[in-house]
Amino acid sequence: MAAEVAEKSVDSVGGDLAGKYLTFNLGSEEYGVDIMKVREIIGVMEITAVPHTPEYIKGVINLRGRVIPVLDLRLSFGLEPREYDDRTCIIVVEVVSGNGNIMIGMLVDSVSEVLNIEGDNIEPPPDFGTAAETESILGMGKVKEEVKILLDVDRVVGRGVMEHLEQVQ
Amino acid sequence: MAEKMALIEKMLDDMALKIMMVEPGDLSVVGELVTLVEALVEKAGANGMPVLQRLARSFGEVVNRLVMTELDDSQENFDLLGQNISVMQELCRKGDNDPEGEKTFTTNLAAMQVGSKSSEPTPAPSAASAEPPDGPTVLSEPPESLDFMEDMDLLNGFIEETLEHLESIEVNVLELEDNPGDLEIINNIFRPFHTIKGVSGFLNLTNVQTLAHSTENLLDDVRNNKRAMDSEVIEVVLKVGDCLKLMAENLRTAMDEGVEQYKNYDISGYVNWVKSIQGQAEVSSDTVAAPETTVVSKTAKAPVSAAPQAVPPPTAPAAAVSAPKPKTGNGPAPAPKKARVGATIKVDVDKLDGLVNAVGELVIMQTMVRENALVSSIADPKLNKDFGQLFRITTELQKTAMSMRMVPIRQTFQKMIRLVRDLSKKTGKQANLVMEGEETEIDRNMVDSIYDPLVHMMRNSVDHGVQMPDERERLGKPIFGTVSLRAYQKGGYMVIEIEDDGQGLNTQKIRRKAIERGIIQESDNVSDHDLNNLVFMAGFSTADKITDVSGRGVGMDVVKKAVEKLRGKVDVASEPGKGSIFTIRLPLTLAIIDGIIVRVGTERYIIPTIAIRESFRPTPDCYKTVRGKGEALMVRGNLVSVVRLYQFFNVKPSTKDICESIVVVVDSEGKQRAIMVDELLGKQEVVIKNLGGLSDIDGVAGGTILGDGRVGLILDLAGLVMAQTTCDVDNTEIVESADNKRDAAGTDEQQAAPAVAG
Repeated sequence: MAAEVAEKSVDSVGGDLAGKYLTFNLGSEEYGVDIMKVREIIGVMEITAVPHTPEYIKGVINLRGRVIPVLDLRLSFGLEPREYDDRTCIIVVEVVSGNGNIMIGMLVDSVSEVLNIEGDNIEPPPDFGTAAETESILGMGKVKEEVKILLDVDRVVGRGVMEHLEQVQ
Repeated sequence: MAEKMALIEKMLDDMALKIMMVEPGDLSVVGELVTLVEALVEKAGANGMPVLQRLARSFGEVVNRLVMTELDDSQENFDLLGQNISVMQELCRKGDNDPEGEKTFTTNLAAMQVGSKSSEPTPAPSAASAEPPDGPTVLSEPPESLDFMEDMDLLNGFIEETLEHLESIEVNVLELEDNPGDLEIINNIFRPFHTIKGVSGFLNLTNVQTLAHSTENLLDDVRNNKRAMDSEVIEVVLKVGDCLKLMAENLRTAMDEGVEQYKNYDISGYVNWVKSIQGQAEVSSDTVAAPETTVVSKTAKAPVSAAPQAVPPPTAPAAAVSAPKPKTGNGPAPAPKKARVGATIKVDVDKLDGLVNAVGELVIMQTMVRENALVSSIADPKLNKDFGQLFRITTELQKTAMSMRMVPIRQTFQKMIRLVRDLSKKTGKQANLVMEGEETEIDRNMVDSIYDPLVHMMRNSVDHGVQMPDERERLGKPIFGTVSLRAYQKGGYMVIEIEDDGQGLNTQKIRRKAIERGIIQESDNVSDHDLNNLVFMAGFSTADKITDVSGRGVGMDVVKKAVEKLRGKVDVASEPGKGSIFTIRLPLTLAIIDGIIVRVGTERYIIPTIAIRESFRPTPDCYKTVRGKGEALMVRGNLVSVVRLYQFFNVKPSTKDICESIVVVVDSEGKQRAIMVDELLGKQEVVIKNLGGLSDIDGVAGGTILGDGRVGLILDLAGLVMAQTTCDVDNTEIVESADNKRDAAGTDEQQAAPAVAG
C-alpha cells in the first residue's frame, strides 16, 4: 500500500514541491521548510515555560507584542536534547490550524541557507516501514551530493499543538 | 429533524427577543425582524411545516408594512406581533397543528390593520397612483442577466458606498426639515442619488438605476426651483432611500450566499409615485397644459429606457394627483434618530487591535531602552528631559489607542427605557426610569455581554422591588416608583448601579433560608450586607419560597456569573422598606487587567488583583495539616487550603518552606485558596494576550508581556481552584513532583467553613 502510494506520487511530488526552501540542521540531519511558510528567523531568547504542556513545547516568547509558542524540533522528533548556543535559532512559521492561521516558533540547531530545489530533484519520502514516520515529510530534496528532508510544517508543528490540545481535552 | 426543529425554535426565540427590544420609531430592529422572518419562512417550508410557513409569511408581510410605515409602529401593534410570535412558538411545539392559535393569529393581524387604518384618514380612492407603494414586491421571474455579480469587488464597493450615501441622504433630509429651502442641503441630497445612479448603471443594476434616476429627476426640479421641497418630496426621498437600502442589502446577501438569493424587486410602484409627484408639480406650475401630456413628455425626456418596466402614464386625473397626500396621521417617517456628532470613520477591528498591540510594544520598548544600564548611566539633563517628553507622548498614545475601543453605554441604557415601560405595563406597577451617566464609556466587546445581566437586574428591580401603586400609597411613598440606572467610572472601574425605591430585601427571610439550607449556622454572626449578597448564590435563585416572600433573587446567580466572566463584581445593598441598590463593578476594558506580579523560582506569574483578598507570610501556628497531608492556613478564623504554585506548575521554587514564602489569599466563585509563591514583585496593569495556539491550559488564563519584554503567564484562578479540587480525588498526578508533602487540599474542611465569610 505504502509502495503503491509512493509510486503513484513519484511524478506529482516533484512538480508540486519545486521551489525555495529554507534549510536548517538538527544534529547531522539537514531539513528544509517551504520558504513561504517562514515568517522570520530570530535568535534564541528567554522562553517562558508554560505548565502542563508536552516536553517539546518549550513555552512562549514575545514576538513584537505577540505571544507565540515555541517548540523544540529536536525533542519533537525524539532526538537527544542539546544545549542552546549562539547558532541556535527560532524559525517562526505560520501554519494552518483549526482556529485559523497561527504563528509558531521552531527551535533548530542552526539555519543554513535558502535553496531553490527543482521538481526533478525531489523524491517521495522513503518507506521506513511505518507510515507515522514519514507522514510529516513532503519529500527528499537532492542538492548536489546532499539530501534535505523537506518538512510539511503544517503537519510537524500543527500536530504538536493539536496533540497537546487533545491531551488537555 | 430534531435539529431543524431546534433551529426553527431558536429563530422564533430570536424574533421574540427582537420584538421585546423594539421601540416605536426604531425601525432598525424591525429590519432585523424582517430578515429573521424571511429565514423562518424558508426553513418552515424546507421542514414540511406548511401552517407555520403560512403564518410566518403573513407575519412577514405585516412587518414589511410596518417598515413602510403603512402601519403604526405603535406599542399596541408590537404587542400584537409579540403575541403572534408566541402563537408560532406554540404551533411549533404542537407540531404544526394548532387551529385555535391560527385563529388568534389572524385576529391579531386583523386588529393591527384596523388599528392603523383608523389612525389614518381614508385616502381618496382615485389617488391610487400617488400613494406610496407597499414596499417593493419581488418579481417571480428572475432577471435576464446577473452579470453585475461578476465583479465582486466592484459590487461590494458599490453596496458599501450606497449604504453610506443613503445614510447621508437621510441625515440631510432631516436637516432639510429644519432648514427648508437650503440649496446646499438639497445639493447634498441630489449628489448621492446621482452617484448611485451612475455606478448602478455601470454595474447594470437596472432597478436601482431607474429608481435613483427618477428620484434624481425629481430633485433636479427642486434644485431648479421648478417645485418646492415640501413634505411630499421629503417623504418620497425617504421611502426611496429605504427601498434602495433594501435592494443594496439584498445584493449583499446575494454576494455572500449566492446568486439565488438575489431578488428582482419590482420598483415600478415607486417610480410611478415619484413621477406622479413630479407631474403634479408641473400641473401646479402650468395649469394650461394637460397633466398627462406633461408627464409623458417628462418621461420621454428622461432616459429611462434602461428600465425593465415600462412606465405607464398616470391615469389619475390632475385633481386627484395634486390632492395632498393624506399621510399625516401616520407616525414619523423612519428617520434615524442618531444625530451625528463630529465626523466618524469605520475602522477594521483587526487594524485597531494591531494599533493597540503596537503601542503596547512601544511602551515596553521605551522602558527597556530607559532601563538599559548604559543609557541610564548617562547623566545628561537633556536626555532626561527628552525621556520625560517621550514618556508623556507614549502614554498619551496608549490612552488614545485604548479609547478607540470604548463606546458610550448610552445605547445599552436606552434599551432599558422600553423594558421598564413594558414591565410596568405588564405588572400594573408604575415606575419611572432615571438614567445618569449614559456618556460613560465601556469596552466595545463588553457591551453585548453586559446587556443580559442588566436586563435581568432591571427586571428584578421593577418586578420585585417596586411595589404596587396602592401599596406605595399606603406606605406614604409616591405612586410612581423610581428606578435609577447610573453609570460612572471610579478607580479604574466602571460602575453601574441600579437603584429602586421599593421594598428592599427581606434580610431576615434570607437568613432563615440560609440556615435552612445549611449555608450558615444559627450561631453565626453574619452582617445584613453579607446576608443580602446571598441572593447571588446559585440555588438561592430558584427557591420559589424566598422569591414569594422576599420578592427577590430570581436567577441572580446568572447575573453574578456573567459579571464575573467579565472580571467584574456584583453587590447589593438594601434597606427594608426603602429599596435596594445593585452595583455592578466592571473593569474598563477587557484587554487590560490589574494584576499583582508574583515570582516562583525564575518564573513570574500575574494574579488578577480583583480576586485577591490579602497576602501575608504565614507563621507556624496558623499552618495546619489535615490528615497529615492536606495543607491549610488559618486565615481570619477560616481554614483556607494551600495551593503550592511551584508544585502545580512544576517549577523549581526558591523555598519549599511555607513559612519563608508568601501566600496570596484569593477568592474565586466563592471558594478561597491560599496561593503559595516566593515573592511579590509588584502591581502592574497588563495587557492580556492569548498564548498563540496553546489554549485551555489548567490554571493559565493567558499571557502578557512584562516590563522587560518577557512573557508572563496570567493565572486562571477558577481553573486553579477546580484543578486543585480534582487533585484531591486523584492525587497520583502530582506525586512525581519533588516535594513529598503532597498538596491535597482539605476540601471537606473548606466546605464546612462558612461560605459567606470574608
